[in-house]
Amino acid sequence: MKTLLVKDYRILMTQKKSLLILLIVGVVMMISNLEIDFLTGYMMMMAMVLSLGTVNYDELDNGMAFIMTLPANRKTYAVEKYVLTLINIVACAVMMLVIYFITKGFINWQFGTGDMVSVTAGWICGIMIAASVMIPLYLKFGAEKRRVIMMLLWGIVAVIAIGGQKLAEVMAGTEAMNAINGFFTKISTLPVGVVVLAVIAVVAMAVILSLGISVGIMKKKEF
Amino acid sequence: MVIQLENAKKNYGSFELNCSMKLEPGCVTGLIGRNGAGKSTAFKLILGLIHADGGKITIDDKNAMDLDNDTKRKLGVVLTESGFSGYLKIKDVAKILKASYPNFKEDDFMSQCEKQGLPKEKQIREFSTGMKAKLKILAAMSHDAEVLILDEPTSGLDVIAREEILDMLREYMNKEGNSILISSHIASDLEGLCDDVYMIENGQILLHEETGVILDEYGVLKVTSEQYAKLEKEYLLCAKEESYGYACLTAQKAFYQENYPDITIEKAGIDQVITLMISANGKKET
Repeated sequence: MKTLLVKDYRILMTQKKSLLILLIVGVVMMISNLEIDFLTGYMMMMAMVLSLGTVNYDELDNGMAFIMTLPANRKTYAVEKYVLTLINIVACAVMMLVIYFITKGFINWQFGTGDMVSVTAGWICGIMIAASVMIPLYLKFGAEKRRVIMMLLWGIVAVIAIGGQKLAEVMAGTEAMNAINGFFTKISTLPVGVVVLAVIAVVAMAVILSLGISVGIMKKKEF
Repeated sequence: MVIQLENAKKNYGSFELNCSMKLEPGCVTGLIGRNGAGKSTAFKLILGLIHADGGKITIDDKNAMDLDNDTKRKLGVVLTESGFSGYLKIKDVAKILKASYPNFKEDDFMSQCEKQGLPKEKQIREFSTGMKAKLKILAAMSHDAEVLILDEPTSGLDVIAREEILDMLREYMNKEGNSILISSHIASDLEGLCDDVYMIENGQILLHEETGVILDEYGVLKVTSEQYAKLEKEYLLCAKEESYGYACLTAQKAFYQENYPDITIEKAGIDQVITLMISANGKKET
């Protein structure tokens, strides 16, 4: 694991320009009065994309074959991509929280400290679920196919989001919609601790399931 | 450390690899064959990079597909078309090796790189072919590996760069117990380095012999058709029809020198052996 983490961080360090652009966009967003919750999500999403991008670097010039001769096996390779992503998004979350605390004295953020912490934790969970979908796809498909699949995936997400919104509008006031609203109302009345545990359980299940699939993909691969 | 392939099989469409070979501790074993003969496939099987369709592949009695990290740390590997990411620099490679191998000595590695004229500030992708090859070898030798597994380490290099790499390998073999498994399609690289060689063609091992035996006891008989008709064929490995008659390969050069003093007998190098074996399709002369 250490071998692979050092390799990936060395590769990430070669992408200083990308990191710089990422930070500049973040600063521009901040200046443009965008809310800190969105900015945090954006930065963490980018941290995930950069982490997954290390798979592209590994595959360049048939590099995977050599990586598999280092003291790391196929399973460790898959696990390391989850660990790398988690480390990077948590580091990004911590960085955003620090920025929040530093700037809250002179920027009138809409979010209070408690809300900011909750939103950041929510982003970590959401992005880990996104990573759970994307990591197996990254490991299964080559760069070309991956691009097409990612576009399809984002398309599906957009259709579900827009379709869901339209459906909610159409169904407004119906018995089914009232039942759904009732469900969410019930959830919101649950103690915070229960909700947090439930969310953590869902995220953990998604990651474990995804990890199992990724390990299976790696074990079947030929280099 | 013992590396062994027993009837290792791998199919790629019409190509089938089926080979058995063994690397003993303290030996330099060569695998020679044309491009596409199956050398890299055999190496990938040994390193567990591809799944075998049959047979047994072991490193110190451990299945090649399930090698633990401690066993992997005893191997130094060079693959012909794969290596560290081209976006990394030598200092990055050193950090990765340091994180991977407890026996890695960073200072020694960096000074070796300097000695070999490898630029520290350039990304690997900017290196020349020779520089990349030297870096791969230095990285493989940097952590006290007991075995070097080198797939075409001299491929695409000029004579001087090839000789420099072979010198590095000779130096590595000065340490007792070290061994090397090396593949090449350049016979001269292996003649001066290997204790024994396996000759592979179309996925099959055609010949396994000690290099000294090939150089001392193998010979090529150049005979006319009439001489060939009268020739004792029991000790011929194969024969190829030539404009002057036949070129015959034997592992008993002395027998023919003694009994057929009037025929031309030339010393056989690995190149001649492989050329004759392949052109005669590896069939033993009867």
